[in-house]
Amino acid sequence: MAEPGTDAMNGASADSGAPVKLWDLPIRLVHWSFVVLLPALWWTAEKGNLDTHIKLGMVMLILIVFRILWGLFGSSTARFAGFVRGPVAVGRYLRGLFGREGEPIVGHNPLGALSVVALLLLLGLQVVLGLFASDTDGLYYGPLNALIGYDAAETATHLHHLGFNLILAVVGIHILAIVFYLTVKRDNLVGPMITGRKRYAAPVAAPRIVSLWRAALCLVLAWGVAGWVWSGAPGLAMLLPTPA
Amino acid sequence: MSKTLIAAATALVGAATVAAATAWAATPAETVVTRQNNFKQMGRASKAISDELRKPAADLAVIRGSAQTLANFAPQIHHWFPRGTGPEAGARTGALPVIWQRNAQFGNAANQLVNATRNFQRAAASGNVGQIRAAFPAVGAACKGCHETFKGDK
Repeated sequence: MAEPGTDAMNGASADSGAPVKLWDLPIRLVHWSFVVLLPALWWTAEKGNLDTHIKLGMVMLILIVFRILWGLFGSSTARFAGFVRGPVAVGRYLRGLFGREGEPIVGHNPLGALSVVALLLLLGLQVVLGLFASDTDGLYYGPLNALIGYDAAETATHLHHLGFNLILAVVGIHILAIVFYLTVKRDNLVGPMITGRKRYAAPVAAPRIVSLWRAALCLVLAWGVAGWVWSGAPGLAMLLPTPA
Repeated sequence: MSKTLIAAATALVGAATVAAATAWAATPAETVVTRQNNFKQMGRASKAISDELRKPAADLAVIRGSAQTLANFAPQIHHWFPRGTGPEAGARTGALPVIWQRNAQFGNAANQLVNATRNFQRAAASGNVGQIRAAFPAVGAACKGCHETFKGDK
Protein backbone atom coordinates (compact mmCIF):
# COMPACT_ATOMS: atom_id res chain seq x y z
CA MET A 1 0.00 0.00 0.00
CA ALA A 2 1.53 3.27 -1.07
CA GLU A 3 0.04 6.11 0.93
CA PRO A 4 1.05 9.66 0.15
CA GLY A 5 3.12 10.96 3.00
CA THR A 6 4.55 7.60 3.89
CA ASP A 7 8.04 6.86 2.86
CA ALA A 8 10.05 3.79 2.23
CA MET A 9 13.01 5.26 4.10
CA ASN A 10 12.38 3.35 7.29
CA GLY A 11 12.36 0.37 5.03
CA ALA A 12 10.18 -2.59 5.47
CA SER A 13 6.47 -2.76 6.03
CA ALA A 14 5.75 -3.72 9.57
CA ASP A 15 4.91 -7.30 10.22
CA SER A 16 1.32 -8.03 10.94
CA GLY A 17 0.74 -7.46 14.63
CA ALA A 18 4.07 -5.80 15.28
CA PRO A 19 3.76 -2.25 16.65
CA VAL A 20 4.38 0.52 14.16
CA LYS A 21 5.89 3.85 15.24
CA LEU A 22 3.00 6.14 14.38
CA TRP A 23 3.39 9.42 16.31
CA ASP A 24 6.80 10.91 16.96
CA LEU A 25 7.78 12.42 20.31
CA PRO A 26 7.17 16.09 19.35
CA ILE A 27 3.58 15.37 18.22
CA ARG A 28 2.80 13.58 21.46
CA LEU A 29 4.47 16.23 23.64
CA VAL A 30 2.60 19.03 21.87
CA HIS A 31 -0.70 17.15 22.12
CA TRP A 32 -0.46 16.44 25.84
CA SER A 33 0.84 19.95 26.52
CA PHE A 34 -2.39 21.24 24.97
CA VAL A 35 -4.35 18.95 27.31
CA VAL A 36 -2.56 20.41 30.34
CA LEU A 37 -2.39 24.02 29.12
CA LEU A 38 -6.00 24.49 28.08
CA PRO A 39 -7.54 23.87 31.54
CA ALA A 40 -4.70 25.88 33.13
CA LEU A 41 -5.43 28.82 30.83
CA TRP A 42 -9.13 28.60 31.61
CA TRP A 43 -8.49 28.40 35.36
CA THR A 44 -6.04 31.32 35.49
CA ALA A 45 -8.46 33.47 33.46
CA GLU A 46 -11.39 32.45 35.66
CA LYS A 47 -9.47 33.30 38.86
CA GLY A 48 -8.20 36.60 37.45
CA ASN A 49 -4.59 35.39 37.67
CA LEU A 50 -3.83 37.12 34.40
CA ASP A 51 -0.09 37.40 34.95
CA THR A 52 0.19 33.61 34.79
CA HIS A 53 -2.52 33.42 32.11
CA ILE A 54 -0.50 35.63 29.77
CA LYS A 55 2.72 33.66 30.37
CA LEU A 56 0.93 30.36 29.70
CA GLY A 57 -0.59 31.96 26.61
CA MET A 58 2.94 32.63 25.34
CA VAL A 59 3.81 28.96 25.91
CA MET A 60 0.69 28.12 23.90
CA LEU A 61 1.93 30.44 21.13
CA ILE A 62 5.29 28.66 21.00
CA LEU A 63 3.54 25.28 20.82
CA ILE A 64 1.21 26.38 18.02
CA VAL A 65 3.97 27.93 15.92
CA PHE A 66 6.01 24.78 16.51
CA ARG A 67 3.11 22.54 15.50
CA ILE A 68 2.61 24.51 12.27
CA LEU A 69 6.33 24.23 11.46
CA TRP A 70 6.17 20.53 12.34
CA GLY A 71 3.25 20.20 9.94
CA LEU A 72 5.60 21.36 7.19
CA PHE A 73 8.94 19.81 8.16
CA GLY A 74 8.09 17.05 10.66
CA SER A 75 7.51 13.31 10.42
CA SER A 76 5.18 12.08 7.69
CA THR A 77 2.20 11.62 10.07
CA ALA A 78 2.65 15.21 11.33
CA ARG A 79 2.66 16.86 7.92
CA PHE A 80 -0.46 18.67 6.76
CA ALA A 81 0.25 17.62 3.17
CA GLY A 82 0.17 14.03 4.38
CA PHE A 83 -3.20 14.04 6.13
CA VAL A 84 -5.33 17.03 5.10
CA ARG A 85 -7.77 15.75 2.45
CA GLY A 86 -10.53 17.23 0.33
CA PRO A 87 -14.30 16.90 0.90
CA VAL A 88 -14.53 13.89 -1.46
CA ALA A 89 -12.06 11.88 0.63
CA VAL A 90 -13.85 12.93 3.83
CA GLY A 91 -17.21 11.86 2.34
CA ARG A 92 -15.84 8.52 1.24
CA TYR A 93 -14.34 7.96 4.68
CA LEU A 94 -17.64 8.87 6.37
CA ARG A 95 -19.59 6.38 4.25
CA GLY A 96 -17.08 3.66 5.07
CA LEU A 97 -17.17 4.47 8.78
CA PHE A 98 -20.16 2.28 9.58
CA GLY A 99 -19.60 -0.27 6.85
CA ARG A 100 -16.96 -2.90 6.28
CA GLU A 101 -13.44 -2.29 7.40
CA GLY A 102 -11.51 -0.31 4.83
CA GLU A 103 -7.78 -0.27 4.45
CA PRO A 104 -6.01 0.69 7.65
CA ILE A 105 -5.01 4.34 7.85
CA VAL A 106 -1.62 5.08 9.35
CA GLY A 107 -1.94 8.55 10.89
CA HIS A 108 -4.90 10.92 10.90
CA ASN A 109 -7.94 9.76 8.93
CA PRO A 110 -9.58 12.36 6.61
CA LEU A 111 -12.23 13.22 9.23
CA GLY A 112 -9.75 13.44 12.09
CA ALA A 113 -7.65 15.71 9.91
CA LEU A 114 -10.50 18.23 9.91
CA SER A 115 -10.56 18.12 13.70
CA VAL A 116 -6.78 18.69 13.88
CA VAL A 117 -6.99 21.67 11.53
CA ALA A 118 -10.04 23.12 13.31
CA LEU A 119 -8.43 22.86 16.75
CA LEU A 120 -5.13 24.28 15.59
CA LEU A 121 -6.87 27.17 13.84
CA LEU A 122 -9.09 27.94 16.82
CA LEU A 123 -6.24 27.74 19.33
CA GLY A 124 -4.13 29.94 17.06
CA LEU A 125 -6.91 32.48 16.66
CA GLN A 126 -7.52 32.45 20.41
CA VAL A 127 -3.86 33.14 21.16
CA VAL A 128 -3.71 35.94 18.58
CA LEU A 129 -6.85 37.56 20.08
CA GLY A 130 -5.28 37.25 23.52
CA LEU A 131 -2.15 39.07 22.32
CA PHE A 132 -4.31 42.14 21.64
CA ALA A 133 -6.69 41.79 24.60
CA SER A 134 -6.63 43.48 27.99
CA ASP A 135 -8.65 43.32 31.21
CA THR A 136 -11.30 45.97 31.95
CA ASP A 137 -9.00 47.90 34.26
CA GLY A 138 -6.04 48.03 31.91
CA LEU A 139 -3.86 46.32 34.53
CA TYR A 140 -3.07 43.31 32.34
CA TYR A 141 -2.68 43.30 28.59
CA GLY A 142 -1.33 41.11 25.83
CA PRO A 143 2.04 42.07 24.33
CA LEU A 144 0.42 43.51 21.17
CA ASN A 145 -2.36 45.45 22.94
CA ALA A 146 -0.61 48.80 22.41
CA LEU A 147 -0.62 48.29 18.63
CA ILE A 148 -4.40 48.78 18.39
CA GLY A 149 -6.89 51.31 19.74
CA TYR A 150 -9.23 50.96 22.71
CA ASP A 151 -12.29 49.84 20.74
CA ALA A 152 -10.42 47.26 18.67
CA ALA A 153 -8.80 45.93 21.85
CA GLU A 154 -12.23 45.71 23.49
CA THR A 155 -13.52 43.70 20.53
CA ALA A 156 -10.48 41.41 20.66
CA THR A 157 -11.07 40.83 24.37
CA HIS A 158 -14.75 40.09 23.77
CA LEU A 159 -13.93 37.58 21.01
CA HIS A 160 -11.22 36.07 23.23
CA HIS A 161 -13.96 35.30 25.78
CA LEU A 162 -16.30 33.86 23.13
CA GLY A 163 -13.48 31.91 21.48
CA PHE A 164 -13.06 29.67 24.49
CA ASN A 165 -16.62 28.34 24.12
CA LEU A 166 -15.89 27.44 20.50
CA ILE A 167 -12.70 25.64 21.54
CA LEU A 168 -14.64 23.77 24.23
CA ALA A 169 -17.18 22.64 21.62
CA VAL A 170 -14.51 21.31 19.25
CA VAL A 171 -12.62 19.63 22.12
CA GLY A 172 -15.96 18.03 23.08
CA ILE A 173 -16.42 16.67 19.56
CA HIS A 174 -12.80 15.46 19.60
CA ILE A 175 -13.37 13.52 22.84
CA LEU A 176 -16.72 12.13 21.64
CA ALA A 177 -15.01 10.87 18.49
CA ILE A 178 -12.36 9.11 20.60
CA VAL A 179 -15.11 7.46 22.67
CA PHE A 180 -16.90 6.46 19.45
CA TYR A 181 -13.77 4.81 18.03
CA LEU A 182 -13.10 3.06 21.33
CA THR A 183 -16.60 1.65 21.84
CA VAL A 184 -18.04 1.21 18.33
CA LYS A 185 -14.93 0.71 16.22
CA ARG A 186 -12.94 -1.02 19.02
CA ASP A 187 -10.02 1.20 18.12
CA ASN A 188 -8.04 2.76 20.99
CA LEU A 189 -6.66 6.10 19.81
CA VAL A 190 -5.41 7.28 23.21
CA GLY A 191 -2.82 4.53 23.71
CA PRO A 192 -0.84 5.32 20.55
CA MET A 193 -0.94 9.05 21.41
CA ILE A 194 0.88 8.11 24.65
CA THR A 195 3.29 5.40 23.45
CA GLY A 196 3.55 6.55 19.84
CA ARG A 197 3.03 2.94 18.69
CA LYS A 198 0.08 1.05 17.29
CA ARG A 199 -0.52 -2.53 16.17
CA TYR A 200 -2.21 -3.14 12.83
CA ALA A 201 -3.93 -6.34 11.80
CA ALA A 202 -2.52 -6.12 8.29
CA PRO A 203 1.00 -5.08 7.33
CA VAL A 204 1.29 -1.34 6.68
CA ALA A 205 4.01 0.96 5.41
CA ALA A 206 5.83 2.52 8.35
CA PRO A 207 5.64 6.34 8.58
CA ARG A 208 8.83 8.26 8.11
CA ILE A 209 9.92 9.55 11.52
CA VAL A 210 12.39 12.42 11.25
CA SER A 211 15.29 13.29 13.55
CA LEU A 212 14.70 15.17 16.81
CA TRP A 213 17.33 17.68 15.70
CA ARG A 214 14.79 18.94 13.23
CA ALA A 215 12.32 19.37 16.10
CA ALA A 216 14.92 21.31 18.08
CA LEU A 217 15.40 23.64 15.12
CA CYS A 218 11.64 24.18 14.74
CA LEU A 219 11.40 24.84 18.50
CA VAL A 220 14.14 27.47 18.36
CA LEU A 221 12.33 29.12 15.45
CA ALA A 222 8.98 29.06 17.31
CA TRP A 223 10.70 30.45 20.42
CA GLY A 224 12.11 33.25 18.29
CA VAL A 225 8.69 34.15 16.91
CA ALA A 226 7.25 34.22 20.44
CA GLY A 227 10.14 36.37 21.64
CA TRP A 228 9.52 38.86 18.87
CA VAL A 229 5.80 38.98 19.75
CA TRP A 230 6.58 39.35 23.47
CA SER A 231 8.66 42.45 22.79
CA GLY A 232 5.65 44.01 21.04
CA ALA A 233 6.41 42.74 17.53
CA PRO A 234 8.73 45.56 16.42
CA GLY A 235 8.16 46.30 12.74
CA LEU A 236 4.59 44.99 12.75
CA ALA A 237 3.09 48.39 13.72
CA MET A 238 3.80 49.69 10.21
CA LEU A 239 1.46 47.11 8.72
CA LEU A 240 -1.43 47.97 11.03
CA PRO A 241 -3.72 51.01 10.75
CA THR A 242 -2.82 53.71 13.27
CA PRO A 243 -4.70 53.43 16.58
CA ALA A 244 -7.86 55.52 16.70
CA MET B 1 0.09 67.79 18.54
CA SER B 2 -3.00 66.38 16.86
CA LYS B 3 -3.12 63.78 19.62
CA THR B 4 -3.28 66.58 22.17
CA LEU B 5 -6.18 68.12 20.29
CA ILE B 6 -7.97 64.80 20.12
CA ALA B 7 -7.45 64.24 23.83
CA ALA B 8 -8.69 67.74 24.65
CA ALA B 9 -11.68 67.34 22.36
CA THR B 10 -12.45 63.96 23.91
CA ALA B 11 -12.41 65.53 27.34
CA LEU B 12 -14.70 68.33 26.19
CA VAL B 13 -17.16 66.03 24.46
CA GLY B 14 -17.16 63.82 27.54
CA ALA B 15 -17.87 66.74 29.84
CA ALA B 16 -20.59 67.97 27.49
CA THR B 17 -22.19 64.52 27.44
CA VAL B 18 -22.34 64.43 31.20
CA ALA B 19 -23.73 67.96 31.37
CA ALA B 20 -26.41 67.05 28.83
CA ALA B 21 -27.28 63.86 30.66
CA THR B 22 -27.75 65.60 33.99
CA ALA B 23 -29.51 68.69 32.61
CA TRP B 24 -32.52 66.76 31.40
CA ALA B 25 -34.08 63.88 33.24
CA ALA B 26 -33.01 60.82 31.29
CA THR B 27 -34.83 57.50 31.28
CA PRO B 28 -33.04 54.75 33.26
CA ALA B 29 -32.03 53.06 29.99
CA GLU B 30 -30.58 56.32 28.68
CA THR B 31 -28.67 56.81 31.91
CA VAL B 32 -27.17 53.33 31.51
CA VAL B 33 -26.02 54.09 27.97
CA THR B 34 -24.56 57.49 28.92
CA ARG B 35 -22.77 55.93 31.88
CA GLN B 36 -21.29 53.23 29.69
CA ASN B 37 -20.10 55.80 27.15
CA ASN B 38 -18.47 57.79 29.93
CA PHE B 39 -16.68 54.73 31.28
CA LYS B 40 -15.55 53.95 27.74
CA GLN B 41 -14.04 57.44 27.49
CA MET B 42 -12.20 56.73 30.72
CA GLY B 43 -11.05 53.40 29.31
CA ARG B 44 -9.77 55.15 26.18
CA ALA B 45 -7.91 57.74 28.23
CA SER B 46 -6.44 55.05 30.46
CA LYS B 47 -5.28 53.00 27.48
CA ALA B 48 -3.78 56.07 25.82
CA ILE B 49 -1.64 56.61 28.93
CA SER B 50 -0.72 52.96 29.21
CA ASP B 51 0.26 52.86 25.50
CA GLU B 52 2.47 55.94 25.88
CA LEU B 53 4.19 54.52 28.96
CA ARG B 54 5.13 51.41 26.97
CA LYS B 55 6.87 53.48 24.30
CA PRO B 56 10.58 54.31 24.51
CA ALA B 57 9.67 58.03 24.53
CA ALA B 58 6.26 58.78 26.03
CA ASP B 59 4.29 61.71 24.57
CA LEU B 60 3.66 63.90 27.62
CA ALA B 61 0.92 65.89 25.88
CA VAL B 62 -1.15 62.73 25.34
CA ILE B 63 -0.60 61.69 28.95
CA ARG B 64 -1.60 65.11 30.29
CA GLY B 65 -4.74 65.30 28.15
CA SER B 66 -5.79 61.81 29.19
CA ALA B 67 -4.98 62.51 32.85
CA GLN B 68 -7.28 65.53 32.59
CA THR B 69 -10.07 63.38 31.13
CA LEU B 70 -9.75 60.85 33.97
CA ALA B 71 -9.63 63.52 36.67
CA ASN B 72 -12.70 65.25 35.18
CA PHE B 73 -14.78 62.10 34.98
CA ALA B 74 -13.85 60.42 38.28
CA PRO B 75 -15.75 62.77 40.66
CA GLN B 76 -18.88 62.49 38.46
CA ILE B 77 -19.19 58.75 38.94
CA HIS B 78 -21.23 59.41 42.09
CA HIS B 79 -23.99 60.86 39.89
CA TRP B 80 -23.98 58.13 37.26
CA PHE B 81 -25.79 55.54 39.34
CA PRO B 82 -29.21 56.92 40.38
CA ARG B 83 -31.56 54.33 41.87
CA GLY B 84 -33.41 52.33 39.23
CA THR B 85 -30.51 52.18 36.77
CA GLY B 86 -29.36 48.70 37.74
CA PRO B 87 -30.33 45.46 35.97
CA GLU B 88 -34.00 46.53 36.35
CA ALA B 89 -33.42 49.46 33.94
CA GLY B 90 -34.09 47.26 30.94
CA ALA B 91 -30.74 48.02 29.32
CA ARG B 92 -27.79 45.66 29.22
CA THR B 93 -25.70 46.67 32.20
CA GLY B 94 -22.97 45.18 34.34
CA ALA B 95 -23.99 47.37 37.29
CA LEU B 96 -24.78 45.00 40.17
CA PRO B 97 -27.61 45.64 42.68
CA VAL B 98 -24.99 45.70 45.44
CA ILE B 99 -24.16 49.27 44.28
CA TRP B 100 -27.40 50.45 45.87
CA GLN B 101 -27.40 47.95 48.73
CA ARG B 102 -23.97 49.05 49.94
CA ASN B 103 -24.04 52.57 48.57
CA ALA B 104 -21.60 54.06 51.12
CA GLN B 105 -19.00 51.44 50.24
CA PHE B 106 -19.58 52.15 46.56
CA GLY B 107 -19.05 55.86 47.18
CA ASN B 108 -15.77 55.12 48.97
CA ALA B 109 -14.60 52.97 46.07
CA ALA B 110 -15.39 55.81 43.65
CA ASN B 111 -13.47 58.22 45.90
CA GLN B 112 -10.42 55.99 45.61
CA LEU B 113 -10.47 56.72 41.91
CA VAL B 114 -10.96 60.44 42.48
CA ASN B 115 -7.82 60.47 44.65
CA ALA B 116 -5.82 58.29 42.29
CA THR B 117 -6.68 60.37 39.21
CA ARG B 118 -5.88 63.61 41.09
CA ASN B 119 -2.50 62.26 42.12
CA PHE B 120 -1.90 61.07 38.61
CA GLN B 121 -2.79 64.45 37.18
CA ARG B 122 -0.22 66.05 39.48
CA ALA B 123 2.38 63.53 38.32
CA ALA B 124 1.49 64.21 34.68
CA ALA B 125 1.85 67.96 35.26
CA SER B 126 5.31 67.42 36.75
CA GLY B 127 6.48 65.99 33.44
CA ASN B 128 8.67 63.48 35.27
CA VAL B 129 8.11 60.13 33.51
CA GLY B 130 9.35 58.18 36.54
CA GLN B 131 6.80 59.94 38.72
CA ILE B 132 4.07 59.40 36.09
CA ARG B 133 4.92 55.72 35.85
CA ALA B 134 4.81 55.38 39.64
CA ALA B 135 1.41 57.09 39.96
CA PHE B 136 -0.41 55.19 37.20
CA PRO B 137 -0.91 51.72 38.77
CA ALA B 138 -3.03 53.28 41.53
CA VAL B 139 -5.54 54.39 38.86
CA GLY B 140 -5.96 50.86 37.50
CA ALA B 141 -6.07 49.49 41.03
CA ALA B 142 -8.92 51.89 41.87
CA CYS B 143 -10.84 50.77 38.76
CA LYS B 144 -10.35 47.16 39.77
CA GLY B 145 -11.11 47.83 43.43
CA CYS B 146 -14.59 49.01 42.50
CA HIS B 147 -15.23 46.61 39.62
CA GLU B 148 -14.46 43.53 41.71
CA THR B 149 -17.41 44.13 43.98
CA PHE B 150 -19.82 46.24 41.98
CA LYS B 151 -19.47 45.21 38.34
CA GLY B 152 -20.64 41.98 36.76
CA ASP B 153 -20.68 40.85 33.14
CA LYS B 154 -22.94 42.75 30.81
